[in-house]
Amino acid sequence: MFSPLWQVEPAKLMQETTDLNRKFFAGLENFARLREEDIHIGTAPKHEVYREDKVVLYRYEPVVKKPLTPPVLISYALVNRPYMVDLQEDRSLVRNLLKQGVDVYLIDWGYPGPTERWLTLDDYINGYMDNCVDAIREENDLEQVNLLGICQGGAFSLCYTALHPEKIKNLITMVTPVDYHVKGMAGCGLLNSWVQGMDPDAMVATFGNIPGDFMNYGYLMLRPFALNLGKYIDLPEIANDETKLLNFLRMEKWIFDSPDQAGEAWRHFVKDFYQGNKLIKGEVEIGGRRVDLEQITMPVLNLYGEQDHLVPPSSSLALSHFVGAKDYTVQGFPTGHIGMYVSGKVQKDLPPLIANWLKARK
Amino acid sequence: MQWDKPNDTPLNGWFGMQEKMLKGWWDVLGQNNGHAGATVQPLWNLWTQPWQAAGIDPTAAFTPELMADSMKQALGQFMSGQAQAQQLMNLVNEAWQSMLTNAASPVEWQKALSAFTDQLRQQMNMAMNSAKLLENNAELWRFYTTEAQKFTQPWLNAWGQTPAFMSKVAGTDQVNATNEFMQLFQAAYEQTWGRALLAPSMGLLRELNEKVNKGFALWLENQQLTIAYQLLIGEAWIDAFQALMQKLMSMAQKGETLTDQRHLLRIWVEVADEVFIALFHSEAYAKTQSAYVNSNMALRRQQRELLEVWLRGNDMPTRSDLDEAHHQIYQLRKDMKALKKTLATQATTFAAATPVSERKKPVRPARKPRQRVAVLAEFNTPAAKSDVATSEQPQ
Repeated sequence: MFSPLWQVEPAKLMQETTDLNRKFFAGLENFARLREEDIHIGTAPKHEVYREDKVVLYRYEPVVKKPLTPPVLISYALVNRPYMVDLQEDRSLVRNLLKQGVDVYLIDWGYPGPTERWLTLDDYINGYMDNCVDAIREENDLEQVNLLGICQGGAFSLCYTALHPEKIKNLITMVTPVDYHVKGMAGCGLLNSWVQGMDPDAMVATFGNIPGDFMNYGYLMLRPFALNLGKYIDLPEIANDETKLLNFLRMEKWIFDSPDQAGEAWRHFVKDFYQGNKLIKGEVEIGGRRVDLEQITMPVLNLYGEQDHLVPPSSSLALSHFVGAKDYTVQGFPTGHIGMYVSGKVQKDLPPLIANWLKARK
Repeated sequence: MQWDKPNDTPLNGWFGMQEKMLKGWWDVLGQNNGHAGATVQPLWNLWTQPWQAAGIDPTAAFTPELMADSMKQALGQFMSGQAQAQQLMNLVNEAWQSMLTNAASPVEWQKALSAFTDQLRQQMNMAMNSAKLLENNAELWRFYTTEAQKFTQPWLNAWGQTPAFMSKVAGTDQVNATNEFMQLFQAAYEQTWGRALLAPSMGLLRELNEKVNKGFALWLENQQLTIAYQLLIGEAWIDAFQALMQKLMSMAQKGETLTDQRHLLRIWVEVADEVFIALFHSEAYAKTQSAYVNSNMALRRQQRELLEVWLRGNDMPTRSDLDEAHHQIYQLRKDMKALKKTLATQATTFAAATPVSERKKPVRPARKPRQRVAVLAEFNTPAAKSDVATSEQPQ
């Protein structure tokens, strides 16, 4: 009744062994030769515009003579580093936006240390973010800027726009969680589920700043075998190809280069957003002011990944029910959370979509 | 994890558990389970061992200190994956042999698989039983006295050494006498008070004892929650393995075969993730994991409290001291920003109210002052001071 489970002929086996050996040793040579500084990331030319504490605002060098106005400010998540939007030269959301004529600014939140342990959401949103927006307004002599928020940075952008609508011309949210209590496909929404029973007060009291590695382990456990084992299975296949290996290592670096999370801000975010789901209830308070998404009346473009296992699509899609915008556009892409920045197909379609949407709303 | 050792890195707690989940269970499950060795095994060893052996410690052969961290990590992960793959191969082969030997019909192979996984489960339970002993009261008492004395020992050592050191410095003849006295005290302590730590505390060390008692209680709770967590994970491992064998059997019945080791690994990754993700979505898992993580936090904080007692006793700064200092820096920085903002606003308002003819310089745009927000450290620089001074003056 059973066919043989293993079907390997000795000759074929020897061939495979030889091939794998060759690839493996060629790969080892690469591993031995390459150094950390060979892993180039975030290489699109940029200069510093504004700095406050550890937060830095950068402006990317435009590649067209007359870039679109107003400029776009990218607000990335506090989790992981913002160079994901410019991971490598041929997979760069920033470079692709620049090519489309968009004037791009980016907030780098930095690596919080012990002194940043008391930074609140008020400090981040009404402090750093607002000052960055003002710096752009001043540099360009404009009243308003465009805001592009990614993931948690999208949640920050929603809060900021609701609190300072007069400074935002158009709002773009990308893979942004809005409803934190949705149930998604298998593997989706696990973060929401896990966080419910945890005690953020105890964690902040214990850690101070929440270690980036602690957060990372949580993310790895969302798909434990695929992320800890599966993606390394084919490493010998690419290890002897320096370009492919460096691409792989860039992603590895980004994944594990995780800043600690400022304790107070993290506590507030977890309790009010993840546990209380207060953003959509209009109950989040920042700097003594209530965040009312109805105040977001300017045009909104909501972008999400259809296979996003970190932010379930339904969580992002909920936005339409709560913003006051009449000009609301939503667009899904057939990819996951990370694919939104690095997928070749998405990078072909997404930047023109953003640029055209903005051009239509100058 | 020992309760008197600081749980100062997450790897000692939750991470360690997760790491064990990904690696160590193979060791438990892969122990001799009474089945004959798999005949296919040597074939796979031939395939994998040469290059695996060659790459077993690549970092040693290729100047590890210069290697990029990301590369080391990736390479280590890969090698670890290979080791897991080998263990997976062993286990799958054993299960397969068992099923082939014991099954003659589609119904019976399932029974055989079930028997095999039951045996794995038994092995797992045996491994857990040693940990379960902790629930035994007598064992708890033994742990308590042993562990508690481990903690008190450094205190007593320090206590004993200080006067001896002072006597030496003074150059008197009292060194031996002091030492003898302290040793006597120490012996008496260990034989009497040290054995009665569970009794309500009194006297000079009462507060310290309470901290020690609480730390021990939290450690016990943590041990129990560790077991509960491990049991959930262990069950999932067995379920995942059972699902893998069912998948392989289903493939065999369709005439499909495994082409190489990585093929098997890919199937394993897919099947195991499915089982574990189902577990992770369960309420039981969320509850157990939360309790475990929260317990780790509580234990670590209590350990820190104890450590701080020791640090204060030795005139060293504690985490609480540093927290307080950092908080003050944060607050001062914030106050400074607010102050500079107010000054800038006032300067702008004043400038706007001044007739144009009286102004010495052009009025800056109202938004300009925002850019002058500076950190505390910058405030002390001449440039920052002149910046504030400028803001204070009408422009």
